Amino acid sequence: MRYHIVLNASEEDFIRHREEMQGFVEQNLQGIEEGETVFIQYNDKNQENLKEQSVTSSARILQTDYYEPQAIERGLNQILKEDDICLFSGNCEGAELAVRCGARQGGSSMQNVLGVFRENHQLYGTRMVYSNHLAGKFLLKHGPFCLSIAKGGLQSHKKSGSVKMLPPVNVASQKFLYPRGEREFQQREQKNGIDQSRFLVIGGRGLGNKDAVRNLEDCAWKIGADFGVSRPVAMNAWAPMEQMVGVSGNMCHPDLCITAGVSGAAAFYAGIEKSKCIVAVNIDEHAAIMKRADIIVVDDYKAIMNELAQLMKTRK
Amino acid sequence: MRILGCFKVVPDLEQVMEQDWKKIENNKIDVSFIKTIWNCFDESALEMMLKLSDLSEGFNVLTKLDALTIGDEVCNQYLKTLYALKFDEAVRIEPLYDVSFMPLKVAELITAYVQKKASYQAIVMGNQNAVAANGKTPILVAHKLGWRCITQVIDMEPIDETHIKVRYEQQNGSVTEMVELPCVFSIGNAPNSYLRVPTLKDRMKLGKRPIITVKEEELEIRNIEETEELVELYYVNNQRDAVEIKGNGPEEKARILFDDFLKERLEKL
Amino acid sequence: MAILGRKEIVEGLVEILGAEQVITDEQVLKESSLDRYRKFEQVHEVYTQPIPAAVVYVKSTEDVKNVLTYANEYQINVVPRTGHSAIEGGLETALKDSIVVDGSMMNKVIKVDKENMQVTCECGVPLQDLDDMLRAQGLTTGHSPQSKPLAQMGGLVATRSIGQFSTLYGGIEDMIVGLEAVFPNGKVCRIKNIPRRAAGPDIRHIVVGNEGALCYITEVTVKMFKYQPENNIFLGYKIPDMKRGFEALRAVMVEGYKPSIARLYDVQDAGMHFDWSGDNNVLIFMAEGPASVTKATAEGIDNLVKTNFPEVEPVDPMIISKWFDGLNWGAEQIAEEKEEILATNNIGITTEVSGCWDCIYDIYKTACDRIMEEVPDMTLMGGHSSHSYINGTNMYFVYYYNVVDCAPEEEINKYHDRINQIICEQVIKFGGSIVHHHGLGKARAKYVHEEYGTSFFMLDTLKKAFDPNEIMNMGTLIPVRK
Repeated sequence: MRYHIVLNASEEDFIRHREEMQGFVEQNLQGIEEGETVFIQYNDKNQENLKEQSVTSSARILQTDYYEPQAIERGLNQILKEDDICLFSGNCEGAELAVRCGARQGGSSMQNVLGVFRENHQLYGTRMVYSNHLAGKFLLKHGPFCLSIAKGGLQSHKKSGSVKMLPPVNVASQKFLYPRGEREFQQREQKNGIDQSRFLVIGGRGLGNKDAVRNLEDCAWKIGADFGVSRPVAMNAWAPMEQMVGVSGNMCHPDLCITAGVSGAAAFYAGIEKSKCIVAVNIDEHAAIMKRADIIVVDDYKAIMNELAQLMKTRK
Repeated sequence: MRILGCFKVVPDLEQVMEQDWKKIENNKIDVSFIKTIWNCFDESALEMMLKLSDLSEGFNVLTKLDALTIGDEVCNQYLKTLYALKFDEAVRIEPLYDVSFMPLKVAELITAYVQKKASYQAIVMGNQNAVAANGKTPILVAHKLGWRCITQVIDMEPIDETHIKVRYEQQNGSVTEMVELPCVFSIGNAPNSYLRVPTLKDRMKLGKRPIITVKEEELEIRNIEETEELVELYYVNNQRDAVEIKGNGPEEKARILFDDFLKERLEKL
Repeated sequence: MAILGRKEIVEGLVEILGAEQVITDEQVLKESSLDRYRKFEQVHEVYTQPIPAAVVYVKSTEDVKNVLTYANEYQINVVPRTGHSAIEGGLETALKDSIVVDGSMMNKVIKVDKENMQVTCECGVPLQDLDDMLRAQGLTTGHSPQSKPLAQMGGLVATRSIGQFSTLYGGIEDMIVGLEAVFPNGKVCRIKNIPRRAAGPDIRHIVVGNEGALCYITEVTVKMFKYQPENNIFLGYKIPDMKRGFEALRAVMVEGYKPSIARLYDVQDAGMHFDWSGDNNVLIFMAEGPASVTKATAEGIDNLVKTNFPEVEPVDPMIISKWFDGLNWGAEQIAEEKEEILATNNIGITTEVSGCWDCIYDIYKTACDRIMEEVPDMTLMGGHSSHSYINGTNMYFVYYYNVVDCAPEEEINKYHDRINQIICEQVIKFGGSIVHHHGLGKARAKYVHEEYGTSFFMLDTLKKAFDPNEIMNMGTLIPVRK
C-alpha cells in the first residue's frame, strides 16, 4: 500500500492546500509507504519550481488544457494502482475528484476525511456525519482509496528535500469531454480568504437583516478583524457566499474569534472549532454556542461590539 | 425537455436536543421523534427546477418535471406537495431498509429507474444529504449513466430543448455555461432558494393524484456491496470553559472583556 | 388631537427625561409604528401607519407619571409598550405624532417572596428571564405563552395573556396578585398583594387586559408554583374526527381532570408539527404537579379517552415530550421567517377565539369552510384548541396564504383583514368570543360592539372616566371616531 497526493498547482490557494496536505500526511500516514505527488497543471497556468512543493520524494505533473474533472480523473487512472491511497485537497474540487476516481476504479472514496489509519490490516477513515453533530468511523473496503481531506486541518510547512520528477502525464481535456458549451468564467472578488484570518468577527442569524450585517462588518474592520457570517446569513443573501463560515463554507482557525448573534449549529461550529479562543456574544444564554465558547457575554451584540470598537480606538 | 428532480427527506437535526446526541445505540441515533424537512440542497434543487420551468414558456421550451425520492411513507406528503406544485410524476422508491449510508445503492436505484423510464434529459439534485453527507450520489448516477455531471450549480435557465444555461461555482469563481444535455446537475449553496408553497386549491386539485410507488425489488438492481461501511458512530465533546463576563450593562461588560481577555491576545496578533 | 408639533413634543420629552431616553432615530420610529399584525408590510419595510414623534424609554414609575401627565396636558396619544411582541395591532400608532412609551428598561425583579409564593417585578422584566431564574430555584410562574422569549411582564398583564399550561395554572388573570399602574392624570395606584378579598369589585381586572387604553402598568406581582418537571407525563392520540376530538377535550374537563396541557390539533395544523399524523387530528395532554397527582391524572385521562373514544390511536408519549421540548420560538425564528416570506411570498398568521362546547365545532368548521371558499391563494387553513375550561375551549386558527399580485400595503385588505372578518363573523353568529388571548388590539376593535353587546356601556364608561382626554393607545379596544 502506498499513498499518493493530488494537488492542483494551477489553483490560487495551491500553497495552502499543499501545507494542509503535508500536515495531514504527517499526522496520519506515518508507517505507510510513500508514493508520488501529482501536480495538476493547466497549460496557461504553469507554476514555477513545483518540485519544491512536493509532499513526497517523487513527483509528477499531470498536464491538461484547462480544469475539467473528467479529464483529470482519466489522467489519474493511469497512475493509481489497486491498493493505493490517493489523497485530494480539502475543497469542493478535491472532494469531487475523490468520488470520481473511486467510481471509475471501483475503489472506496470518502470526502472531508479527518483521519485515516490501519487496524488489523484494514484501512479506516473518519469524518463528520449528521450535520457535524457526530463523527463516524468507516471501514474502507476497496482500493484504490480515494480520499479528500477535511478542509481547515493543521498546516505544516515542512518540505521534502530532494525530489525526483517522474515523466509527466498529458491529458487533452477535449478528448475526454462531453461537448463543452460556450462558457464564461467570473473570478470572485478576492478578499483575503477569511480561512487564513488570525482575528475574526462572525455575524449570525441573530443580526436579523442586511444592514445589521453591514454594520457589524464595519465594526469588525474598526477593531482590525476579518469578517465572516454563518450559513443562514449567507443563504439569506445578507452577505456574499465567500464570507460563509462552516462546513459548507470557510473552515477557520484564528487565534481569536468573536461571534455575534450566532446560535452555533454544529455545521457552523466545525468552521471555528480550531480557534484558539472563542468569544461568544449572544442575547440568548441558551444558544448552543454559549457552551462551546471560551468566553461568553450575554447581552446585545450591537452594544458590546460598538463599545469594543470605541475601546480599541481610545486605548491603542 | 423532461427533468427528474431527486430529493431526500431528512430529520430536522437542529431540533435534536444536545443530550440526545449522546444516546448512540448500534451505531444509530434515534431521530424518529424529530419532524422531517426537505434536505436543504434538494429544496434548492426543486425550486430551481420550478424556476426553470416558469422561464421555459418564454423560450418556447416544453418542460416536464418529475420528482423521485427513496424512503418510507413519510415522503408521500412531500411528493404530494410537488404534485400540487405541478410536478408531473411523483415517485417513491421503497427501499428494503434505510439507505442513508449506502450511496452506491442509492445511485444504482436512481439509475435503474432513469433507465427504465428512458425519457430524461436532465437530472437535478442536491449535492449531499444532511444525515450521511456522503456527497456522492450525483457523480455516481452520472457515472453509471455515462452522462456529464456538473457540480456546485447555483442557477439554471432554459435555452432550447437540448441546452440549459447553468451557473456553477468552480475555483474561486463562477462559470456560466451553455450545457448540452443529457447532464446531471448537483446543486450547491444557492442563496434565497426556499421552495414555494402550493395553494390548498392546488393541493386538492393536483395533490391527490396517486404517488407512484416502486418497490426496490421491482427495479431488479444487482447486488452491490458498498465500498465504505460505517462501523462506529461517536459523539465529539466540543464544550469549552464558557467563562461568563458579568457587569452592569454592555459598556462595563465590553470593558472587562477588553481589559481582562482581549487586550493581551490582540497584542500578540 | 395633539396641540403641539413633533418638534415641540420631542423637546418637551427631552426636558422631562433627558435626551438619552428620547429616541427619534427614523428607523426606530418606523419600526415602532406597527407590530406583527402588519407582518407583510413589516418584512417589506413598508410603513403605512402614522410615524410616532418619539420612542421614550422610561426608567421609573416617576418617569411614567411625568410622561403621561405631559401627554395628558397636551393631548398627545401614548402607546404603552414593553416586549413589542403584539400581533393584533395593539402597538400601532394610529394617531399622528404619538409617543411610544417603552418600559423595557424597568427590568428589575423586586422581590422573590418564597414564604408567600409570589414574585414582584417591574413591567420590563422579560418573562423568559424571570421564569428561568425561578426554575433554577425549583419554582415557576406557570406562565408559558409562545411569546415567552420576547414578551415582558407589563405587556403580558396588559393583554390578558395566557400560557401553554393554562388548563392547570389559568391565564395571567388567575396568576396576578397585585400591581401598580399609572393613569393619564398622573395618579399612581397600587393594588396590594393578598390571597383574596371581597371588598367591592375586583379592581385588578380594570387594569388586567386594558391593553394600554386605560393606564400604564409599571409593576406586577404574580404567583409562584413549585417546578417539578420530572413528574410530567405526556399523552398523545390520533383521532380521525375533529368533532369527536372536541368531545374528548370536553369529557376530560367535565370529568374533573386538571391536565396542564389539553390540546387538539386538526389535520392541517398537525401536519405542520408531526410527520405521523397523516389524515388524523391529534389530541395531546400533559399532567403536571406532584408525582402522585400526575400519575393519577394521566392514568385517569388515558382510561377515559380510550374507553369513550375507542377510535383513537395512542402515540408514543416520548414523541410528544420530545416535540414539546423543541417547541421554541424567538427572535431568530422571526428573522428566518422574514426571509422565507420575502422569498416565497407565503405568509402565516393566527387568530384565536373561544366558544362554549355547544358551538366551538361550528365556529371552527364554518370559518374554515368560508375562508376556503371566499379567500384566494390559501395554502393552509387549520388550527388547534389549546386552552380548555369546564364550559368550553378556545380555537386557535392557523392560516397561510401566498400573496399574489398585490403590493405590500394592499395585503392587509386583500387577505388578512378579510380572513379576520370571516372568523369574527362566524364567532359572533354562534355566540363565542372573537378574542381568546391576543387582545382586541386595533385589528379587531371594529367588532367591539358585537363582542360586548349591551355591556359595551361599561367599557366605554371606564374609558371615558380614566382617559377623558383620549390619550391612551387610541384605536385600541374602541375604534377612533373618525
